[in-house]
Amino acid sequence: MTTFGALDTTIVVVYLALSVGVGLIANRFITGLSGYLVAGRSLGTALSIATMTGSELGLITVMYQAQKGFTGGFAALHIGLIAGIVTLAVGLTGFIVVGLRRSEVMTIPEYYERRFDKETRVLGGILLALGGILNMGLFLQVGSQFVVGVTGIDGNLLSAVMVGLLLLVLFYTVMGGMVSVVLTDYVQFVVLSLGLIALVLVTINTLGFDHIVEVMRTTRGEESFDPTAEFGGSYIAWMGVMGLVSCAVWPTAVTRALASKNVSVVKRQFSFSAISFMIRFLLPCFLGIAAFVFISDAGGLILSDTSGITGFQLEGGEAQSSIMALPTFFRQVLPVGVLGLLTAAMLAAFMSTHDSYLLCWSSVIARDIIAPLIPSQSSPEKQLKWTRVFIVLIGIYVLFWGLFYHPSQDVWEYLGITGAVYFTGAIVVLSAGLYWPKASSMGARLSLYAGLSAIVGLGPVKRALGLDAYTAPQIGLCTLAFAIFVMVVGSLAFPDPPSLSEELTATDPESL
Amino acid sequence: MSFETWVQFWKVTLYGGLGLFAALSIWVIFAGVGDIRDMFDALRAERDKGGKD
Repeated sequence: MTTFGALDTTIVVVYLALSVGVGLIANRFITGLSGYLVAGRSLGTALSIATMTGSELGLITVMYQAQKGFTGGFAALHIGLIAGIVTLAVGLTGFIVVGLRRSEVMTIPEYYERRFDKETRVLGGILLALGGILNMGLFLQVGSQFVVGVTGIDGNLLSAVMVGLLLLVLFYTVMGGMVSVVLTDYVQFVVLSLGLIALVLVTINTLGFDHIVEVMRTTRGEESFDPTAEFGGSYIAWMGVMGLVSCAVWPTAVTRALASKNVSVVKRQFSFSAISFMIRFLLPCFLGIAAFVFISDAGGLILSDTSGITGFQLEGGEAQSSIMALPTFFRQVLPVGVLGLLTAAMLAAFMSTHDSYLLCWSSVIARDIIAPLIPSQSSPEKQLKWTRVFIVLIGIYVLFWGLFYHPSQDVWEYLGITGAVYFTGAIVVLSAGLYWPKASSMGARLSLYAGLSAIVGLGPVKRALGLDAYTAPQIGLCTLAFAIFVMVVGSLAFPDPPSLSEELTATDPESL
Repeated sequence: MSFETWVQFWKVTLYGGLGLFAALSIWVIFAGVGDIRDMFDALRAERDKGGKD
C-alpha cells in the first residue's frame, strides 16, 4: 500500500499556494459588479469550455459517480451517456441558454422579473438559493472524506480538513470573483483532464478491461450491464431530466453562457461541452467499477442491505461506506508522486466546484432577493458587498451541514432531490417563459412553489411521511409533472394584464 | 440487448468518450491561453475606462 509521503504533500501544498496567488492577481482586475459576477462577459469558446468543465467536474462529481459505479456496475454508465446526448442537443438547438444569453441578464431570477414580475424574481431567487445551498451541503464533507481516504490520515481530523479547505476557497473566491474562478478553473481543467485520462488508462492497464467485465459478471450478474434491468425506466427518465437541468438550467452552468461573448460562443460552448458533460460521469463511474473489482480481487467483503450495496471491508480493516471506495482504491494502487498529483487534481476539482457554487448562490441572494426587496441595497457596490458577505455565510453553513448531516441514500440521489427543489420549477418557468407566450406570472409562481414539493424525496422527509415505497426519481418526476400542470392551469386561469404581455414581446428570444 | 452486446456497447462508449475528451482537452489547453489573454485585455480596458470616468 502507498503512503502519502513528503513528495505528495509538497505537490499539494504548491498547488494550493498557486490557487491563493490567483485570487490575489484577479482582485487587481475587478472594477465592478459585471467584472466580479460574469468576468465582464469576455470569455472565448475554449475558456468557456474549460471553466464550465472545471466547475461541473468537481471532486463531489468524481466521488458520487464513482459511488454510483461501485453500487450500480456498468449499467450506471448510462448516466454519462444520457448527459452527453442531452447537452449536445442543447448546444445544437440553443434551448433555453441562447434565450437567456440574449436577454443580457446576469442571473436566472433576473430573467424572471423581465419576463414576469418582481415577485416571481424574488420567489425564484429564494428557491434557487434554498435548493442550491442545500445541494452543496455535502460537498465539503465528501471532499474531506476523499482527503482522509487518500492520505490515510486519522479520520478524527476530518473536521480540521474541512475547515482548511473551506478557508482556502473562501479566500480566493471573495477576492477575485468570477475572474478568479475562471483562472483557477482553467488550471484545474488542465490538471484534472490530463489526470483523469491518465488514471483511466492506468486502471485499464493494471486490471484489464476484460478482467473487470468478468469480475462484474460473476459477482453482480449480467443485469449489472443493462440499465433497464439494474435501474428501471423511471430512473433513466429522471437521468434525462437531470442531464437537461445540469447543462441548461443549473445556474452554475448557465452562468457560463451568460459570461460568454455572444450567442455563437454559447452554442459552440455547449456543443463541445457535451463531451465534458458525458466524461464527468463516465470516467469516475468506470473508476468506481474498477474499485469494486480491485476490492473483490483483494478478498474484500462487499457490504449490502435491502437497498443494495452500501460499502466494503478490506481484510483486517474497518467497514467503510461505498463513497470511500475510490480514495481507498487510489491509495492502494498509485505510486508516490502520482498519488500527490492525483490529490492535487482532486483538490483542484473540489475547489473549482466550491468557488463557482459559492459565487453563484451568494450573487443570487444579493442581486435577486436583497436588492429588489431593499432598494437602498441595490447599488452595484452594495450588491458586491452582499455577495462577498454571503460567500462567507454560505461557507459557514456548508461547514456545519457537513459536520452534522449524514445522508441515508447515495450522494447522487441526495444531490438530485435537493437540486429538484429549485430546478423542477425553474425548468418549467424558463421553458414556458421563453417559448410559450401565454405563460403568466401566476403560472410561474405556482410552478416554482410546486418544485418545492421535491423535498419530499429526501431520505428523512420521505421516511417521516411514510413514502418509503417511492424512489427519489419517482418523486422527482411527479414533482416535475405537477410543476408543468400548475404552470398551464395557472397561466390560463390567471393571464397577465396587457402591460406585461407587451413586456413579453420585448423579451421574446426571437425578437432580441 | 444481449450481455455481449452490452459489453461491446459500454466498451465503445468508454473508449470513444476517452478519445474525444483527450482531443478536446488538448485544444482547450492551447486555445484557452489566448482566451485568457483576451479576457485580461477586456478587463484592463474596462478598468482604464472606469478610471477615466
